[in-house]
Amino acid sequence: MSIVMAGVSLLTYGLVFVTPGDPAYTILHERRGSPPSDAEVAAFRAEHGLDEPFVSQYLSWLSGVLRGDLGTSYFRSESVSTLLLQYLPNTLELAVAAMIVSLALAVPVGVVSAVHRDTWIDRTSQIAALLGVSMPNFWLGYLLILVVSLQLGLTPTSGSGTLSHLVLPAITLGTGLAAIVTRLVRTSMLEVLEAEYVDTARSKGVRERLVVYKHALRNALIPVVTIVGLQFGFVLSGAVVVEVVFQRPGLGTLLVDAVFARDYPVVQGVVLVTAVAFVITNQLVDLAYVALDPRIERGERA
Amino acid sequence: MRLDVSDLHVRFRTRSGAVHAVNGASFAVDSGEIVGLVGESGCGKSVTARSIVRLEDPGEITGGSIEFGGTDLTGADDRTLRRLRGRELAMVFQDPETTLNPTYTVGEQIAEALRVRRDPDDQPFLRELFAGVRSRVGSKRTRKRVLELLGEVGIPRPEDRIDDYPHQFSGGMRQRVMLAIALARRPSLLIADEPTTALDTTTQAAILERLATLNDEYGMGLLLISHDLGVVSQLCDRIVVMYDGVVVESGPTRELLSSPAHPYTKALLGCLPGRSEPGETLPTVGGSPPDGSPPPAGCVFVDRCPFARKDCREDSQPTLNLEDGRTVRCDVSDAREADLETMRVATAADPIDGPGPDLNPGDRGRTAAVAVDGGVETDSPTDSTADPSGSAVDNPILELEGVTKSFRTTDALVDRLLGTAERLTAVDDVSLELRAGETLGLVGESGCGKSTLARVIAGLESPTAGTVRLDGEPVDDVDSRRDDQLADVGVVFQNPGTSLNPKRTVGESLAEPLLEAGWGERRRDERVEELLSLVELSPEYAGRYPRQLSGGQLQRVAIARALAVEPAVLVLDEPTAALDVSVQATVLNLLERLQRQLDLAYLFVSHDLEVVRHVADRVATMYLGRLLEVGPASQVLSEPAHPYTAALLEAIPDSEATAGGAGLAGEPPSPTDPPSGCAFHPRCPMADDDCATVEPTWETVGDASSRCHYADERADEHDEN
Amino acid sequence: MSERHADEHTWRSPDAVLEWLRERTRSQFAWSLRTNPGVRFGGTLVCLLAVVAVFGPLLSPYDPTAQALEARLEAPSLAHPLGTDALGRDVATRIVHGARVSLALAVAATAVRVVIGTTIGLVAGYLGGLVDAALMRLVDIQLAFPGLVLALVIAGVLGPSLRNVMIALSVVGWASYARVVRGNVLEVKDRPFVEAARLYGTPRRRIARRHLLPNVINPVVVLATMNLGTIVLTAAGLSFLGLGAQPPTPEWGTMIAGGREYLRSAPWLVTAPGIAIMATVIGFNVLGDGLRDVLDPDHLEERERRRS
Repeated sequence: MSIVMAGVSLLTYGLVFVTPGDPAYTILHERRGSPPSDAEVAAFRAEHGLDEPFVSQYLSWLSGVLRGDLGTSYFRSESVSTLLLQYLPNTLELAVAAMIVSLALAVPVGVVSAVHRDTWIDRTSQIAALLGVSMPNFWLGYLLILVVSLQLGLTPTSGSGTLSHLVLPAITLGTGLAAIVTRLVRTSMLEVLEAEYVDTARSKGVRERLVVYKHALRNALIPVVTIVGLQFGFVLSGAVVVEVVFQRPGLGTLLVDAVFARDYPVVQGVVLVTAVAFVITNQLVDLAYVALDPRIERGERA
Repeated sequence: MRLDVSDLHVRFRTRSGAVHAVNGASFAVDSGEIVGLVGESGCGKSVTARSIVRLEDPGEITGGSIEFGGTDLTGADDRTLRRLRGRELAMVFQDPETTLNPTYTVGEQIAEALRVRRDPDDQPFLRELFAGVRSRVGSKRTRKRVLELLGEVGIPRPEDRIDDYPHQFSGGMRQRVMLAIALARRPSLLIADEPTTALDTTTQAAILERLATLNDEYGMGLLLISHDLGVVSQLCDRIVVMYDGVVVESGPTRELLSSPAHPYTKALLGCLPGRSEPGETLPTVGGSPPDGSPPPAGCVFVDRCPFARKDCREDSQPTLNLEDGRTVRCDVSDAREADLETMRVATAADPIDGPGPDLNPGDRGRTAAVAVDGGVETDSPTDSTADPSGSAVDNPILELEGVTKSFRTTDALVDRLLGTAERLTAVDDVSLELRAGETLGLVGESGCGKSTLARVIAGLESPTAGTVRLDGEPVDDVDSRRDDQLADVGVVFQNPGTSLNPKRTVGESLAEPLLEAGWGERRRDERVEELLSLVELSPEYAGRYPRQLSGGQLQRVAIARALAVEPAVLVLDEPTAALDVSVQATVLNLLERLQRQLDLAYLFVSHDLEVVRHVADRVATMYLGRLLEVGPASQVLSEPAHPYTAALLEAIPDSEATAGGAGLAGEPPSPTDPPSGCAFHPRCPMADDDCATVEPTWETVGDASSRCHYADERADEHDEN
Repeated sequence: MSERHADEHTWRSPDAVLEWLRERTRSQFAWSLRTNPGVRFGGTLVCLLAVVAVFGPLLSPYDPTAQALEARLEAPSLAHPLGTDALGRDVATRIVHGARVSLALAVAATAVRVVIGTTIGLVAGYLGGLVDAALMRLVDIQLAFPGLVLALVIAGVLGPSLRNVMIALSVVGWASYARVVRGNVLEVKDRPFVEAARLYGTPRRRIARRHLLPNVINPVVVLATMNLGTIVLTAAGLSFLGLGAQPPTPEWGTMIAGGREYLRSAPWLVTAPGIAIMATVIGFNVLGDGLRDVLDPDHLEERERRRS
């Protein structure tokens, strides 16, 4: 865990130093559109601590991070932490909404699909899932805007704040995830339905509905939980694009703007937050695992 | 209630065509009766069992009827099935690892059966889901009943175990839980599909004993499905023999075993090692086993039957009723009346999955010579067992001196650095010798360390303490052995399916050891052909992939590879445990011949005492990593000088069941925390206070030695008898 | 073929059955590869796309980048089957050229991922111990970053360009290969045939190459096929954000980004490249699913066999 976090922070900070040439020069050049003078470069370096060796830069950044200080944006007056706090809630709101949309759709569809294997229900949902994973989400976003906002006029095309602002982005972002989870639930369910203990339950005279929902589903969800945890990264990635499509202020739009402006402290801040969020989610997943699968708990005790 | 299966047909649709699993099976089980359904793998016995409880899916019943208490189950609706499964018809499956739901406590899984029995038609969805979430049996009445059931099937301290999950139980205990689930329904018929196959012989003996008692107490009928004639004959009133989806013979146990009528039954009984003299060539069944293709119009056994007549293939065979309640599906009176000895002669020259039809004329001569060789051997069965005294003057090829192997039980870095990891001693202070031409049988329950010892000898593990000597020179693991030392030891593993690289042809696999030993291409090709003929396979097998070979053929290739660079010692780790008895017979015959031909020394690791009795000159018994008894097979396996060996022998299932003395109590203790004194004392019937504190030393009894304080007394007992 | 077998059944001498069985198993792989519907449909789609990418540009009468302002935003017609964009360029031609860009990028990035991931997985799984622990931490670190975010930052820092997107997509995403390969190696390396190889003195390197790699490579092939689709999607996403291909390069994501201002007046500008992306990804996904059934049939066939 701690090794991973150390690696994450090093990679996050080190990323921006892969810039070809001198970052200060590049930044100033791009900002002004003409080559900066040596004095300007030196001043910029001194202001942002870029004249120190990499290791000491990293260490001072890291000690700042540990105190909750992520530095200050090169271009805006706010500190990076302020910016993150300002934009994070919007993104979280979108991510959670998308997760809810997709899970609410995917788990029942996946189960029904597996139980009625090779029927038209199964085929339809399989094809829908295939379309879902194959569709670029930014494209789906525009299609939804075109139909729902422009043609039908049901929702606003962009912005954030109200529930109606959230509907389309959540659907856009949730579709891909829903498709992945549907396929996963189906596969996992099919596997579990073949298990001997399912036959044991049937041979006891247990009703088929209970065989499916009591004996099979719980076991089938064990691998699903892990993957859903891993898919949180997918949601965060997707959020970047979806926020741009719907022009929602959030970590995604913040990151894209910062990348273009070479506002490195902001880039580092956003990347660090997403990585930490991802690692935390996986810890939560491990907890959910213990709740679902009694075998895990024992493994830790032994 | 009576179960009546008649003319049952079951078929599976697979991508590569239909598999005909059951092709017209008929038999009946009367209420309270114990019937055994036997046959080799693929004969359709399990599918038949599953069809009775209507769990044949993904197979489909395409014909026949299954009547149970007057209801035809093939046409029963869900409600009827639920009632029957919930109250009358229970099933126990083979593999206790996978038959219990890992996410619910065993108590809940038994309680569920009780609730279903109370009212099969009313199973409230939410109540059941909630019961699952709680996973602790709530109702006092139900809990009490579950505890009773757990006690009844022989689980010690039920109050402590009721809220445990399946993974916290051993295989044998899990199978008992399955039994409790079955008994919760107070069924009138229990179907047990290979209930003890995945268990140790000692555990098996206890479970079988329990089944017999339950049949007695509950008056419950029992249909026992097994590949093991010993198991079936110990328990059953009647036996039904299946071959290629058809019942070929049935009848009362004693009559059927003493005078089998169908040629297949005769063949099956004949190839059991326990029925032949040690070292004698085992009779085998010619031809290839059924493969699920549609059966011929006539007799299903026709292709492998030495008595087959022309019309057997076309004419449907009638089911004849013989005296004393036996039925047989064979119309050829010569075949029905032939005794086992005639069978033996008729089949002796016909190895089961050897080259047979594939041989070109040149090779046929060679195999014929082999067959004659085998025939000669039959005349003097005691030859090879009398021999070892002669070779004893040679120096041992392999010597073990105080060999110990222990493992860390955890891989955690912290424990490794601090040295706090618990250590498991798999092999503890073992000393043994092995000479050319000799077979040493190594026996014991699973987990006793016999496989680890085999791996240490092979060089796959290096010993923690002690020395392994090859030809008098100490050796470590394979990475430090010289080429000639590597060549000295060949190994054959248990599961032929995984012994060969699935991506390489048989020829490539056989050539590899030669390549590593630096042989040129031409010599390699010649040697590969030589090796194939040595194990009675035709040269064209060189071009095939492992998936195109049967289990017996794969094991032959594995043996050929082990012999590639002419080893002096062959380590055989349960080489026939994964094979059917008829295939086992051919592999054992092959090993016997190779040993004689090449003067090999065998270390034969096995849990099957009948097989070891057949092949071994000397036997060593292992328990918790220690040797408990070593000596000549003829003495150790008839007059054991250690109570553990005696218990293993007693646990062998056969028709002369020992009443009351149901093998060993309990299960082996954890090897991380072995008992003080004699390791066996907690389970030993004759242990006293001394045994718990003083570790016994080797005592000499006749030609054997035993690590028991009372070895001499046991020997005296034998003398009196 | 099946008729001949049926004949042999009724005859059913042991040799005939044996031969029939052998025939059946020998050709099974090729047979299932040809008859698997996923492989057929997905394979056809992918081949079609490859043909379009290679030969399409040669056939199109238009230049994908030349502007023709007199013909801007024309609706689909015979001359322009998919209409024209804001600068009067033929959308169909640009999509055909875009196929080249997308497929080339996906294949290159996947190849790099496969090589890095497989090597790391093989080494970690086979050597075990500290090497394994170290390499797997590296994998964990890589996996802690959401793929697109990391690629986005790398591409952005290196400067927006197609080449940089390819670099970015190559250095992320190998971790899943490493995991899959390591898992399979751990399972295969204790199989008796590997131990047998140790027994007759095969050097480790040769064991890894000859016995481990061929037995762990199938899931990699499946994963890579699926991954080609994912990379097409991600690359389009990056280009959409402006970090990938720069105008006027014909790239599907860039085309969607350029068309979004005309969503209401010229919807084909967004729809057409979107469908192109989708068709490509569907092709790879279906092919991957089909290959999984053929190459990695453990759960499917095994279960059938166990039951019968």
